[in-house]
Amino acid sequence: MMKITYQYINVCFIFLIFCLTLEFLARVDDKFKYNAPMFGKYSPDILREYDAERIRHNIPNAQFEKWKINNLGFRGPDIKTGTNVGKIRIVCMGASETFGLYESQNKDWPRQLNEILGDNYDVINTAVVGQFLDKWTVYLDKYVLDLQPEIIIMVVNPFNYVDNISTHNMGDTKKQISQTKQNNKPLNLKKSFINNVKQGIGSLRILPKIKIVIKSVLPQEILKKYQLMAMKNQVIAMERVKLNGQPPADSVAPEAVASFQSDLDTLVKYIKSKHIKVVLSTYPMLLRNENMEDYQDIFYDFRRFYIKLSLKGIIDALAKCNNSIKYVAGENRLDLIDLYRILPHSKIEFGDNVHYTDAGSLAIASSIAEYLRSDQCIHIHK
Amino acid sequence: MIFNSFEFFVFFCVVVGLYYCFSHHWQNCLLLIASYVFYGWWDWRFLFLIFLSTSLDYFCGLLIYNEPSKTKKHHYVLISIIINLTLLGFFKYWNFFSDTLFSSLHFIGIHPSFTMINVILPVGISFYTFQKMAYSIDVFRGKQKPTHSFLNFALFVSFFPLLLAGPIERASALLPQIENSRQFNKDKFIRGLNLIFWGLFMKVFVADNLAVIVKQIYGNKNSTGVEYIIATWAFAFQIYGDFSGYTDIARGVSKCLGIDLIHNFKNPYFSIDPSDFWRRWHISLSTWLRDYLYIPMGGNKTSREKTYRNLMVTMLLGGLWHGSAWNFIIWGGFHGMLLCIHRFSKNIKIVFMESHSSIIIYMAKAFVMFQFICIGWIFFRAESYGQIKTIMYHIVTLSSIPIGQAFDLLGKVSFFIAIPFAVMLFQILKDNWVIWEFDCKYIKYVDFRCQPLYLKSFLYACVAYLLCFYGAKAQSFIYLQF
Repeated sequence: MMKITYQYINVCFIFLIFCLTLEFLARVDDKFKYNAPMFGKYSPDILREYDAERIRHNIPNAQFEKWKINNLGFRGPDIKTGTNVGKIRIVCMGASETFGLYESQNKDWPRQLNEILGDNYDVINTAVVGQFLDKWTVYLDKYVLDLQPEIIIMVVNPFNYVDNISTHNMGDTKKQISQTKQNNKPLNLKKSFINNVKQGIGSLRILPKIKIVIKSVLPQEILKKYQLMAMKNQVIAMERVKLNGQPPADSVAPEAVASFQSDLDTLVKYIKSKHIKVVLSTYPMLLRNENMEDYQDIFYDFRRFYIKLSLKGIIDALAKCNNSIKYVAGENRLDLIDLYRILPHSKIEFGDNVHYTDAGSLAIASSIAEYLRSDQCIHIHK
Repeated sequence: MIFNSFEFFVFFCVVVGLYYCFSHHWQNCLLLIASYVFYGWWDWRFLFLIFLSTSLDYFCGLLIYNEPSKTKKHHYVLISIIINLTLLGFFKYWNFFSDTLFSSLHFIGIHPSFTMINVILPVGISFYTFQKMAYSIDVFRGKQKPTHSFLNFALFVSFFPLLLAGPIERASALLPQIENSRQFNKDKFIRGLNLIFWGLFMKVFVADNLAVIVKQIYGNKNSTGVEYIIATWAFAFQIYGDFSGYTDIARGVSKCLGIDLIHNFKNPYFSIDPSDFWRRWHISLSTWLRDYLYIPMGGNKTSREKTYRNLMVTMLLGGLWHGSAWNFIIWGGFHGMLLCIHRFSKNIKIVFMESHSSIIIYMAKAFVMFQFICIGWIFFRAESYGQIKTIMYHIVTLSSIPIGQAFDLLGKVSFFIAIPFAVMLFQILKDNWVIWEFDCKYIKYVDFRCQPLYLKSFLYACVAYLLCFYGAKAQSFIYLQF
């Protein structure tokens, strides 16, 4: 009996050493590759924070994996003051689509735009992941206007207006509810221990890496089918909770579009009042009625964030919001780039429904550069 | 279904899971079915070929054994050899010889109007043909009793771990293991998993990463001499990692099933002369060529000139066995020449070559031999005669790249070689410890198997990390094309 117990302890000890070594190596690897801290929190959250006015902004000099924030808090290389003399400064505003999720380092579309335009231009990517349009004016005031840009190019995500129930928000809400409950309840030692263990496992760096390896090793067909099934189930469960048995809407609420249009118009007018040239663009998206069959996984993935809308509803929302963008551009006599029309709708250009790959970003950068140089746009000379 | 694929992982788990639930006879049935499934996964049409040629050699073996007349025995073994070589010749060399004939006719101004058929090479045909031929010859020589069970013989020919790229097992070693019952042995099973793990590391981390560098340099017409040298060193370890990795996985899988296969490699890059190299590289092929080709031709028990001839013929045919292309024949010829020169140097008794006294001399000789092996690898890796000429020209004239760039490239290559090289070095130190008359008690510090469990666990984790996160995208094994 003692011998068996000893063997068990021995095996556990060896397994523990094996796991600890893997975790240690993952941290060393991150340190060498991304200059990540050996200890402490390491997640995309370290890239951004909320300021006192609840405005989301990037943290200067922060880095998470390939995403590096510069000295002023924007994605891209450091900006040295006084080096832009004689250069035309273009600021690109947006959310995750502009910040860049799937692109390699230095392949987000503002960086590629700078490369195409050349040394006479200084293109800065001021996008912040998850930034809502209604916060852009304050963000602009606090963080962007100091850059004294000549042009601001905006790629605005309208979906936050049409259905702002996202799984991220739900996660936060859940967290808040559970925290409130915990605060009100007497301390449960067992539960707090489990929570600590969960948090500990959550902060392990080896697990996400293993997940990626497993995904790459598994046959893609099986993986895709499994993911699709899991997402379908998740969407059905979310529909049950959020829609109370009602079918998802096939068209977007007019007041949501009106609200989006009004906020955009206010923002544009504000920027114009600062004598900055504004270039608007329509919002490109991968999904269409005609390619729905090919990209079912992307549809379900996207719907998890906008559960109230069906595919028809999503397409309707985009069409109406893009019309609003065009209307605002027309009303304010702004230059407009129709990225929705220009960008091809395939997985070569899109990493998911609304985020771009290197190729997609290059296509966007090329279109914008062409537009800036064309007759449709006013030529800029300092 | 290659060893480094998810399909094989599932296949292996299912086979091993069922295997130990069955009795001996059903274990063999399961292995035969599994082997045919494994082979049919590549191309089910060639299952008929392997089945037919297996049946033929099975009956030939029985006829040879039961026939009292020496002449008839001879006829039967000849039938077996001729049919095996005809099948091999047709499937493997038809395209090569027909292309050569076509271009030769073109060269002398004849333009034939007939069209050539394009023959698909059945994977593993070179390996299982040699295995079957050795069986028939051994039965003929009286060294091996034929098996009376067709099931066992079919399993001997098509045992899936060694079906595609060897090692070429002898009937005397494999058949008794197939015929005897096998029980689950924990230690053996763990050793098998250990071998699979190491084999995967050699393949996925060492070979496949080096393959990227080699492909990039060999595929670029503007590569410089220094780049070609580094790429050739890299290729030496790529092909070693690829083939020895395959063999280790095959041996590991077999061990998990209770069957031991022979060692195919014994640290070949620590060989100190050409014959030493062939005692360490692809041992199952080199011993096959020795036993069934070199010695029957007279070996070295004949005049000096005939010995050189025997060496050259054996190596040229060994080169041709690898593939139906001129570069493999040149490679074989080059090694034949090295063996002849080595034999010549032995005949005139060059004292330095015989010296074993010092580790420095040993390493120096191993280093020089490695450079010769690498020259051979240029012939092996090059895609055409023109490319061989280009590479040789650049290396001889040493067209250089900036020193920083060269160090970068060397660093990349060294990163993927360092670990297996260190392990090989430990191995060679251990193997040659007694020769160098050092104190044996220090062996425990370099022998991985003697390390305490916690240290082993740490080392395994390090290797697993490199394998999982620095392994290149799965590529096919080089020797599957032979």
